[in-house]
Amino acid sequence: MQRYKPLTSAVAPGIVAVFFMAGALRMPSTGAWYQSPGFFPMVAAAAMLLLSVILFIQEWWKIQKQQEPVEAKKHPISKPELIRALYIVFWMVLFLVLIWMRVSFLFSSALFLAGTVFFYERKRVLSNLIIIAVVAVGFYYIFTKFFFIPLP
Amino acid sequence: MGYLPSFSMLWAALADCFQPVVIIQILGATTLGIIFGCLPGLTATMGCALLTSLTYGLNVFNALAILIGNFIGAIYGGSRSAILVNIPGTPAAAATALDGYEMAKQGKAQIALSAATTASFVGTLFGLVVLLFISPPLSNIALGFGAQEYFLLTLFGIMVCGSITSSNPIKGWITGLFGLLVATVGLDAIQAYPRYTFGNIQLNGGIALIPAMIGVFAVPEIIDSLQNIDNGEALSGLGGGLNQLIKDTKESFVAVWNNMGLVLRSGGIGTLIGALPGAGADIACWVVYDMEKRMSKNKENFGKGAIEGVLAPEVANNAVIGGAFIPMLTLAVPGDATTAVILAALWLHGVRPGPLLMREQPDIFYSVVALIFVGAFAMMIIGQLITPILARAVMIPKGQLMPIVVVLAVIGSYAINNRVFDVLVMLVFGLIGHFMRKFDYQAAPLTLGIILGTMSDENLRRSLMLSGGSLAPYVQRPISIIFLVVIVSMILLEVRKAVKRRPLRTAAETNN
Repeated sequence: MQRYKPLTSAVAPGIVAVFFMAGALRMPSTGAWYQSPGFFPMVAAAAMLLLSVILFIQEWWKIQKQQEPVEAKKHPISKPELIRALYIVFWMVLFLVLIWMRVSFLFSSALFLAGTVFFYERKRVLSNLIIIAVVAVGFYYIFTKFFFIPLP
Repeated sequence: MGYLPSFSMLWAALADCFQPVVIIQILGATTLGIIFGCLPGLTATMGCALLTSLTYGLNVFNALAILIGNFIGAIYGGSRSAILVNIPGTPAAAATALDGYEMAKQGKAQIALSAATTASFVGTLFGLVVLLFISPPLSNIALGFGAQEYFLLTLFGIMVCGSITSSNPIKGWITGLFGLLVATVGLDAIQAYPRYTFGNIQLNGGIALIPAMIGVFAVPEIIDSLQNIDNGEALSGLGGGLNQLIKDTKESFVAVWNNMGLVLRSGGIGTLIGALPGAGADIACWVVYDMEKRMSKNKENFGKGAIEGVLAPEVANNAVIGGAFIPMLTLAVPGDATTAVILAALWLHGVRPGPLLMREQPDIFYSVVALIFVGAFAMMIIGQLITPILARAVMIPKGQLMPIVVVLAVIGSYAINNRVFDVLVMLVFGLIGHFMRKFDYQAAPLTLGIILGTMSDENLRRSLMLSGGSLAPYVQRPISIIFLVVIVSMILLEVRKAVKRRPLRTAAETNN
């Protein structure tokens, strides 16, 4: 599948362009064509679609000529690396949900930090605890008291 | 408004810089910038994006003091970790690591650090002088721009940025167009029609720029850093006390003086690259390093600890700062990603950069010049003093550092409008940025597209309304014709490159 990764990189923006074009077509056209709110998105999306097609042809041509896939196989991402990368995304989403639910910033940031720093640096217990306390309390205090940003 | 800068206004702006509060802000922001630049994974753009939310409650001058101090400090700070541990703190310092780290291994760490500091100082001042003298005449020229020129300028900016920052210009242009499309989300500026909002009121105001930028720059870096957590080994070669520091600083000034030709070339190219839309210090450092290596009589010393290999990229990457402000202040087209953030910050403060800035708010222009000048001195002093501490700070494990950056990113996104929705925007754009990186798409054209989108949309439609739908004015106005010629030339150049590549490959395959 890595061999066809360059094709995906051409197809994905093409789909995005089609999405914007479809949206632009649904916009009302009052007066001249160039006055429509959908005119500019249509022009930009059409140009994007055209470039995606050119890119697709370029990449397809490259794949046909190559015996061995390049780049993609140089450093395939291992499973532990992928888990490490996705783990932070999971906690970021949880952090967002907690903030969204207006759960106190102090609690949500401390929970987020605890969940992440102990996963990535489990041997550094003392420094992890210091980081959690200083960052959660320190940031909350600085931003609310000094910069008057009303954190939840 | 004349073609020469007003020195009386410059003195007034300089005097403002010496208020105690401003001095503290510049010193603090520069220090923070150096720390940001020094820590791998944290860049000048990310630093400015995170700090923008803090400057919201301040006046424009104080906000600029913090952002410019941070910008200068971060571009310079990358050289510290590049020289000490062979980990460029920012992409702008990648070329410095080649010779800087070699010098450190040879026991010349302090000399390399001092040389980088002096070169960065000289580079910043070089860019500043160009900014001071080029901006007034450029603003005068830009006053003659109509809707056609503005539309073509935005197109030109996106094309240049896409070409320079991406290995395949088509990918760069696609990213830029995607940015333009993202900018259309929200109420249409001419007819107030809600575009791509799907009935969500939060989207009526459009995609908030700062959260989107924090997302595309910070989140992919955080994810990538945590994939591979390994820390470099610390190097000694520092120390020797104050006398040694003064001696090494003197020596570095002598090295700069002895390489004045290199300094002028690197400064000139750095400033020019900075002035090109979207192209920044990360490109400038490699261009000048390669050029100086080719021009040097001692090519073989490059990569083995040549001081020229430290001076050239450091002069160039800091000269980019002044260069990047030229189009940002005079045309409202940011020269690089960091000035894009500063442009967004100025918008938040109600300042509209562009050709009229020099006429209506010249104090903003002179404030920027004065703050860069003072920031250069702050960088020089602080950089020399805190380097030994930074050598230890670089070793903070990424597993502890990156979660802290996430907390800052969340606060930075939230604080702009006190909306949780903006945190969601940051996260969504972070994931978009992550996948873009995986598929070799650069973030710079995307941010430039988002910034220029409204300008591009309004001016294209306005130009057509004025001409009754005719495209004729585009080929009747001199500046417009120049832009068109340059844009068409760029496209033809790419087509020529693509056509040239084909027969070569076919010939190679035939031989095999």
